[in-house]
Amino acid sequence: MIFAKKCQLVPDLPLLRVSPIGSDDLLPSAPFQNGAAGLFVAPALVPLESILRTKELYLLAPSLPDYERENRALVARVQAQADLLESQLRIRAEEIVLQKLETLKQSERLRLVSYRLMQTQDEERRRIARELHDSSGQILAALGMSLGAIRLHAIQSFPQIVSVAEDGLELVRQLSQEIRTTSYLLHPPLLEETGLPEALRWYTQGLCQRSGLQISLDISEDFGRLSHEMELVIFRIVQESLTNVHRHSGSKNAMIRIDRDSERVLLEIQDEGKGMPAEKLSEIQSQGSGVGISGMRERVRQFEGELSIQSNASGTTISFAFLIPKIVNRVAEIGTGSPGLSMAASA
Amino acid sequence: MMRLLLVDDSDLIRRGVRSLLSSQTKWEICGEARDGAEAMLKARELLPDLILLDVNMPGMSGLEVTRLLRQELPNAKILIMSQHDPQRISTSALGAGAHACLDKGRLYVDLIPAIESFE
Repeated sequence: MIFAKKCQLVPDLPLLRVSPIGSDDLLPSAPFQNGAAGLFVAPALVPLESILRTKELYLLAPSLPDYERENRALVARVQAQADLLESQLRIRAEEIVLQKLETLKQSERLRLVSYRLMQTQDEERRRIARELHDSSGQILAALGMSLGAIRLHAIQSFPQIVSVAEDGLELVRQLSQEIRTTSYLLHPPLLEETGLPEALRWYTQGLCQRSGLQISLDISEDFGRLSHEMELVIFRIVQESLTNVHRHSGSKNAMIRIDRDSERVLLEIQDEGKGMPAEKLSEIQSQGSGVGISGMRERVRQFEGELSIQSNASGTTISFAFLIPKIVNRVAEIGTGSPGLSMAASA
Repeated sequence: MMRLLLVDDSDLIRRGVRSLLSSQTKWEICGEARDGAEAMLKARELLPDLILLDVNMPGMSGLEVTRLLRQELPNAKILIMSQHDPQRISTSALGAGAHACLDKGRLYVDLIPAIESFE
């Protein structure tokens, strides 16, 4: 079957020559006669390649039956086919939309699960930190006093064991220090009591001492308070980023800048290390990456934030932007922003 | 002889302080309390010269007890003991009326000199 712009009898031959056209020119009722246009049926003898090759088609001119009626029947069949196709397409399109929705729902569920996992992890860290600090710390303090008592008695009666008691006391001192550091790293108590600047200062000073990394921290003294969740997220991101700088970058320095206005918090962590391998960087930028970075990304997402990473041979810069939830803003502005209030407001 | 009231909810810490001070004959631990309310009762009853007070107790916190003690026993010295780094609470502890703040983890070094400084 072909739609023809023009048909022409070929002299001396029982052939009809037609020029193919687009369907918009369709005149289905055109009769078979010279110069007519319309829908024609090619008998099976006509090879289709000739349509493709020459853009023309030679039709055998048969003894003509009622083309008009056949054309109408054909058009009806074509129309029925087209209707069927259209409805199949519509169903398929609906299926695709549903599948997309389902995928969205699933990724939303996954996000929720990972958010809850992180929350649980934070709660668990907090519990272990408290347990370590309060319980083990208390026992060690008591042990220290027992050894201290032994030392005092020994000074009077058994001078030969004074040094043994003092060795024991030194071990108690070291262990107390380690337990306190581990506990504070698991959950920084200063964060809840005094807020980000103080907690970050404590953390970066400690990391300087433990790792030798030179860290500059640029955060205003009057940075103010955010919701507890947000302060914890920022603290954890700085913690994670500096751990990465220390472990992977080879940099001796790290710079942290934190700034805020009433709507947003901007955080930037920069090092002067060897940069990330191009492969790793593109993997991270395409969002499929290690646990550390995807954990950060998930934390940022809680606050409709953005994460961007630039890295080359002279260092890496990770930048974060967070939106401050509106109600917390207002609480902070009227100057009554207790962590409890902010938490409730942002929940 | 200087008389001390020892306030801490941890038996371990109270026992530790007792054994640490056992070699000191010039001071006497005249009583112990496990929380703020008991501390107030014992303080009124025993009128100690010095109160060794844990900052973190169930019920009233050490800082609240400090404020009450300052009103009721203005002459008693108050030494706060904290499981956390004492720098973190020293401002509020001194503000509440305590005379000094000690790190529990370092009591074996710091407690005796601190008490001596009040003699």
